[in-house]
Amino acid sequence: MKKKVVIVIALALSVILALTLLAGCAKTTDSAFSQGMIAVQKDGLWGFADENGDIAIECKYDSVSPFYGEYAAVQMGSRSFLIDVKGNDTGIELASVSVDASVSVAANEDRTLLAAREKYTGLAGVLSTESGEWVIRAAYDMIDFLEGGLVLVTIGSGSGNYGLFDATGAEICPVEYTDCAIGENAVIMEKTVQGERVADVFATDGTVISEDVKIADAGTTKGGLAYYEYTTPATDTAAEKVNQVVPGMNWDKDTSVSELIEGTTSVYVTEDTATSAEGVTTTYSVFKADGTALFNGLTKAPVYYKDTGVLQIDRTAADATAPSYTYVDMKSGSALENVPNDFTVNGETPAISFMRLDDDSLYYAIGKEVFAMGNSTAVFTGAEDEEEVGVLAANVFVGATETGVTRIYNGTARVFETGAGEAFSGSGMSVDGAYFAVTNAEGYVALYKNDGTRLFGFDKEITDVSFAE
Amino acid sequence: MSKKKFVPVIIVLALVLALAGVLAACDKTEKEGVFAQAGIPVQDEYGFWGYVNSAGEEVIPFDYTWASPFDNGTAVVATAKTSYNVPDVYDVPDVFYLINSGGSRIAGPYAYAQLIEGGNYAIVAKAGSSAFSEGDVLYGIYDIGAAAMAKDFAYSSMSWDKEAGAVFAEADNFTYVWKAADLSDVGVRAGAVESGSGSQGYAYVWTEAADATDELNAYVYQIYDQENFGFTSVSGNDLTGSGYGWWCISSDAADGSGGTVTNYTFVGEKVVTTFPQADVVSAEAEEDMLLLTVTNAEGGREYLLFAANGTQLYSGTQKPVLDSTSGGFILEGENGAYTVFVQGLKFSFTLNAQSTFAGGRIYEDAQTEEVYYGYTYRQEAEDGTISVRLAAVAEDGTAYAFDPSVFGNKDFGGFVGGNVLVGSAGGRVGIADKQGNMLVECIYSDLRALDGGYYAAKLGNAWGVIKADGSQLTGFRFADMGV
Repeated sequence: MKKKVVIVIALALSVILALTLLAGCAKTTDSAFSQGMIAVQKDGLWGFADENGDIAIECKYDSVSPFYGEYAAVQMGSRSFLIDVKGNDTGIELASVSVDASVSVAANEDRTLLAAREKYTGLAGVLSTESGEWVIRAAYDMIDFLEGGLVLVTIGSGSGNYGLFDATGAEICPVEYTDCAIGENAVIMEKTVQGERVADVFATDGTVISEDVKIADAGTTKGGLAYYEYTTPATDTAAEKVNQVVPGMNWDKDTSVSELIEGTTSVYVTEDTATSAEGVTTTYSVFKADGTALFNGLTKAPVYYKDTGVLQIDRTAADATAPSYTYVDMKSGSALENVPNDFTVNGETPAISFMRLDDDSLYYAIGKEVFAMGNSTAVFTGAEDEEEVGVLAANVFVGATETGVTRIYNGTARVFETGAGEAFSGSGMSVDGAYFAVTNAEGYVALYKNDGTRLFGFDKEITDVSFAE
Repeated sequence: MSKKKFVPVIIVLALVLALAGVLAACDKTEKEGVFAQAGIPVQDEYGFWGYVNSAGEEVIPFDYTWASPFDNGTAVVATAKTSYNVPDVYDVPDVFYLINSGGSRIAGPYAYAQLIEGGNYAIVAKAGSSAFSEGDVLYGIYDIGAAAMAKDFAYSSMSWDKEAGAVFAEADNFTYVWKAADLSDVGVRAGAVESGSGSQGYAYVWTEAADATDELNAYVYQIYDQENFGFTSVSGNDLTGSGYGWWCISSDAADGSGGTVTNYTFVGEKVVTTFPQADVVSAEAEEDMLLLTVTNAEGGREYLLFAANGTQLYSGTQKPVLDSTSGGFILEGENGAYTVFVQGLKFSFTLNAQSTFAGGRIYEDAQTEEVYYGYTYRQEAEDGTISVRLAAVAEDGTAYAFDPSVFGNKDFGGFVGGNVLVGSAGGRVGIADKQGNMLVECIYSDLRALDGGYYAAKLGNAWGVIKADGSQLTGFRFADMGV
């Protein structure tokens, strides 16, 4: 009796699925698909395929961008323009780029805005991906989408002018600021008023932190925190003082005593100068954003690796026979101590390697073992014949053999392995590791989800796929 | 079957209604100033020229290799030469036509065409008869209203001096001068115009041999009076050019006791002044001004400054100093009074005791034709800090102060259409009013004022027309603009 019910339900579900597919309503928008489509190449030209690898928009373009909102930018010969989800030419013209170069547009993080160059003026502006209207007119030389949703516009290069808009296209700063410091903590816009350097400071969402601040300098730490400096003139009793302010981090200190030199909004590094009878000593400290000290009085300057967000502290004692390192996750503040290896050994495979996932979680591999930062139990151990291991996504691991065989694991379960003549395309992977592409000997591409499910195979004769950034 | 009968009627009705809708949607385009004519000439992305209205819509097709602005309902256009238009005897790149407001060709083909003086006439050229001479082009004048040649193709050269309001044409070693307004004869001179070193400058001077009765002066110099449509003749024996367009004629006269006395006559756009050589200490020509240092009746030094049009700008015992930072001659008076003479014009302003003059130059508003002198000065404040400030003064003395705090970090770029051109980083310009309030943001790479309160603006690679309130009229789609 139960079986019948199951079958009936399965049929009902498949009918529903079929109906939705027929209605063309498969509007998945994730790291691989937008509007249910992925950019694919066939016979040298680009178009779009659906989740089954069937062509939805004919491959007739020299280059395409992914779909952002309702539009994709395409290039055909000397003409660049926007198409809608049905593949219709919208008549919204973009500047032509050289035939060799890809159509050049960039989207903001939530894909509501598209920076593009207008055809006739050749200048950059911002389009709404919903309406196709220019929400920031194409009058600028450069557009940058900032973390937090703000849009930085630039006129000129080198000594240009900067302006700031919010995500709706409303102007926050007119394009008359001569410099800017962009950080994950704040945006500092600087201009010269009557010969004086003045700054307007904003949080990353555009909220005003302070206005018309007289500054001596502004910049960004190597870690990515924006700061400015102001001077307090000398008095009869005190020398001139230069203070560093790091907005949002509760930092306003005399730089001759202490300076914030690296940091994220979670963890920061200071350089402290102490003057005594013996002379000047410089030490370094690491703090969490709330002020909790993680490490104090370090004698060697820590090295910050921005791509993974890892701070490397050399703790090797002067008389030690073996090196010792401490690594700090600059997003969480987790520390890994007593590591005898340096992960930047020149030219050689590093003994320890770090991997930062899209969701900000940090993993590291030592040998064939993979660990999650903060947990000393390995979450994955590579197989006997695997010489390289890595992490694609949470609980999704990859192992590669010397002969080029690549295997994908969900936990300890092996869910995929490349066959003969097949190659795991490292560049053919979505940024969150949720999808990956495999190329066979004929040059055709198959697309998989990271649980090993194949979405479409080599039989679709697709020669390349392109994921959204 | 009966249904079919109705269908055509319905279609016709629908078409009529649609057409009426289009007509009713009507003409919301602007018709003032530069748009009072049929359209403005613009170049499309393919390099062809045509005319558009204020909304940027095509009114005359993009069929031309060049198109001039309309003047009084006529424009000049050029098209690529085709073999049956002009004999293929020399490298004439284009063929010219005159068109009317509807875009129809009313005259041509010509080897050259140029509208003059209010659009009533056009200087036109046709290829000459000789198959071998590259220079064999003949000029004439076409009367547009009469649709006939006013002057036949008989002249080897022809030019319109807009400022002088005259047309000069050469034929058979004679120079003919006509008033540009109605082509009435001003006079004929034998030979070509004298040209000194460098450009011809301001003066039109012919040298003719004197008759034998004058033993002292071998020549008669005929000077075209650019103000009064006539010729002034000066007898003399030497013509010296200054290189700036000024001429000096020396003439000898008997002094009554058997000797001769030499006089100098200075010529700009007309005869400007005459002095005995003995009294002239020095003559400095600087662009369109002449500074004479002379000995006066009492034996003292006197300085006289003249503009090329004959206006005496200054006479006095203080020497106007030729100063490159001021752009011309400068006189410092008492109590901070300054007088600057630039390009034949005089400007006056006063600086207070804490300020020192730091230089300036002429700014001309090409559209309003107003001329200003813009200058900077260093002002010392009470605490000793020095700021550089910017000011301007019009010919009539109206003064403008450009407060740096209002302008922020922008540069003053001159006057345009009665407003101020403001420059910002990246070479972009915008517009502010004379009080310093920004009207149009500094995003354009070029701005020109047009008649009617419009501006031709270049955004990136494309031109369009905007108004002083920043509103965009035509959109930015044109590779070039002829207005």
